[in-house]
Amino acid sequence: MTDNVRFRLPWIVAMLTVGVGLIVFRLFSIQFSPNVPYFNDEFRQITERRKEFEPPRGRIYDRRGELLATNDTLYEVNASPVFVTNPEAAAEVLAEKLNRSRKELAALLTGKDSYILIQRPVPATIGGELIALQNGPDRADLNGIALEPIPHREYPGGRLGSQILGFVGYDGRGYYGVEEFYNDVLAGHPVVGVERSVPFDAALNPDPDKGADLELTIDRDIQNLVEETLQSGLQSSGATTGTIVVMDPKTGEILGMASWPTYDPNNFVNEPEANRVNPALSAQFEPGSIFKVLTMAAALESGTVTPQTTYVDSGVVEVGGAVIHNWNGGAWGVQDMTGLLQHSLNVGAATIARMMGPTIFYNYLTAFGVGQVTNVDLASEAAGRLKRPGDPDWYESDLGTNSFGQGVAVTPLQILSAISAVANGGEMMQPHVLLSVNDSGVVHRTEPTVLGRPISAQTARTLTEMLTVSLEREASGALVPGYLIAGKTGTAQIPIPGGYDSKQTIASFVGWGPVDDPRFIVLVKLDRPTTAPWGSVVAAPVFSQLAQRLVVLMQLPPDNVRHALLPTPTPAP
Amino acid sequence: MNPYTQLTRAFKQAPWRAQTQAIAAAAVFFVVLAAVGGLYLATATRAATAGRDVQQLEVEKADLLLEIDQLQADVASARSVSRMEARARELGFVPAKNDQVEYIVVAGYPQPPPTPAATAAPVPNYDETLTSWLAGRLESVTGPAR
Repeated sequence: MTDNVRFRLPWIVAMLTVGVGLIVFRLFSIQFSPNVPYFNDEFRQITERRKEFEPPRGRIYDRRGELLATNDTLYEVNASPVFVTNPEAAAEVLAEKLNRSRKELAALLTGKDSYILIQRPVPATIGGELIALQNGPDRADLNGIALEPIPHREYPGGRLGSQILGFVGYDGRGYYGVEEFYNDVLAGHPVVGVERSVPFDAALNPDPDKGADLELTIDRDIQNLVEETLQSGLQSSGATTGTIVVMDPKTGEILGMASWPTYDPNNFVNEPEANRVNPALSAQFEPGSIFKVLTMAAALESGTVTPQTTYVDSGVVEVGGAVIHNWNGGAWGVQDMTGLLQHSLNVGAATIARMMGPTIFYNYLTAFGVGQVTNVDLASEAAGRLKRPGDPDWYESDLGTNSFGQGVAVTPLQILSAISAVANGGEMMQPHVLLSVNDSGVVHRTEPTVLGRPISAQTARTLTEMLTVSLEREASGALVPGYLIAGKTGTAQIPIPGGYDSKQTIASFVGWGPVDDPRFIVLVKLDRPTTAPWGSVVAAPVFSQLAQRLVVLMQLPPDNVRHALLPTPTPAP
Repeated sequence: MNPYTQLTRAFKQAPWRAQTQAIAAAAVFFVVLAAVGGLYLATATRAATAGRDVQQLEVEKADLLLEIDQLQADVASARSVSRMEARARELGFVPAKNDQVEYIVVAGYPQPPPTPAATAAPVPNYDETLTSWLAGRLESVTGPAR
């Protein structure tokens, strides 16, 4: 070793020692300095990000497991022009994929902004193609272009059942229908977690409590049939709007429910807002003669009349100062109660209402749920309106007009629910659309609930028979070959300021069958028909058309076949 | 003095003994330090690799969930009523009418309990006219006509 080396070596060692010492000192001073919290905060700000982990929204199925609402992804295409390396190439690609002007896009991409929105939303297929290009050999062309996935609710059936389903807005909340009513169940519970970019600290993302799947009572095929039949009915009658509801009277399960006009929930932004409301439970109307079913039920149950009770129909009756005429202004002579229903006589309905008196009459209407919400599990239900004695706007004349469905406001679902008590042996079932909830594999089923028992089984049976006979005698257009059907037509005047519209009506029909084992009850309501004003002419045939296909979809054999195939019931002792 | 004791004493008195001990101690220290450092590095590397794997798997999981959602939406769209109906019509099917359906009893198939059939016409036809009704009323007041 030379002297030179001997001389330098200690200095080098000393300098290295001092250097290392300084580094170690600095490390210790940072590690134990009072600024440690600041350094920790800086570290976290750079490497950690608080993030809300949104659970996927629960899906909605029909009663046969067909998907009615699911989730997919749309994209937002945005850009940071400062990072765009080839604006012309990027503009060309985006113009082709997004069907936009290349010039306009090139101008956008040559700016100096750090963020510009190019398009939102972009369909998943286009988004997928752009992502593939970003990962392909020409990826440099799309430098500075970003695709952000946006959770999106997809309704595969389009308009099918849209007023039952509702839709999910861009804020992730459900609006209208099932989406709004069961929003909390469907949405699940988001979890706030920390996303760490340093792999050393990386952890599994928290698992949010995902939304439960719903199975509805709706049958997709029946819903489609209902919507098709409604369209056909509107066209044949010239009606502007209308509603059809199909329910199982034994359980209250709604099998199909449609109104026109409707909307496409996949494109709710561009649809009229008024169409999003479900008129079957939100729109109130004066029901007209279908209401006579309730009047007759009350009269029979209270013992005021029997099917054989007769009265003389002189074509006019005065109740509380109001003069009531029949639908044709004529007198029908002596009529029994079946004749009253068969010919839909207002004078007869007002007569028996007067015989009952307001207390009995209105108590029964209340028991039928008139003027009250049914509490169906859908958003935006209206209550209707039933004026009762004691109300400031109730007059004695209302007893007469209410008896044939005038001066009382109901929703289609409300009147259907009330009349379903007659179909179901006196028990009114809670209308509902939820069949079961599947919460992460745990299934909760909805049990049918009795909403009320306004009449006895005997009265229900008697009235059903009267309505069956009245349809058969009338050779009604509502009849369904091979099946015994009970039902009632309705033709209601439309209230306008100062009275009633003299030209336009609401034509309706409520019917159920097979009468010995009712499996469906249907309300058909056509607003302002132009071909004829009468429910018997325009609404009853629509019911028949629907029921003839409904029995096939529900696998209901004709009565004679069913009675031949099924064991003969043992008569009660 | 036995040979073992002699050897031990000679070893202990060897002039290089102290220097060797110091070097050996330092070497042991550095080896242990290197082992601990190596272990720490290996562990940290593996933890970082695992962390990176977790991050990649999370991204992959998110992508797969998006893909599953998309595929389910595609399947549902392909099974929509309008498409199924159009496809069925293309294949020559038509909607069945009620009189075209044949119902059979399948032995052992669960059936709903039978319910008593209602009679179709329990109420007698009412054919009384206003005149006959008035006559009847008069008769009830005045007695039967003679």
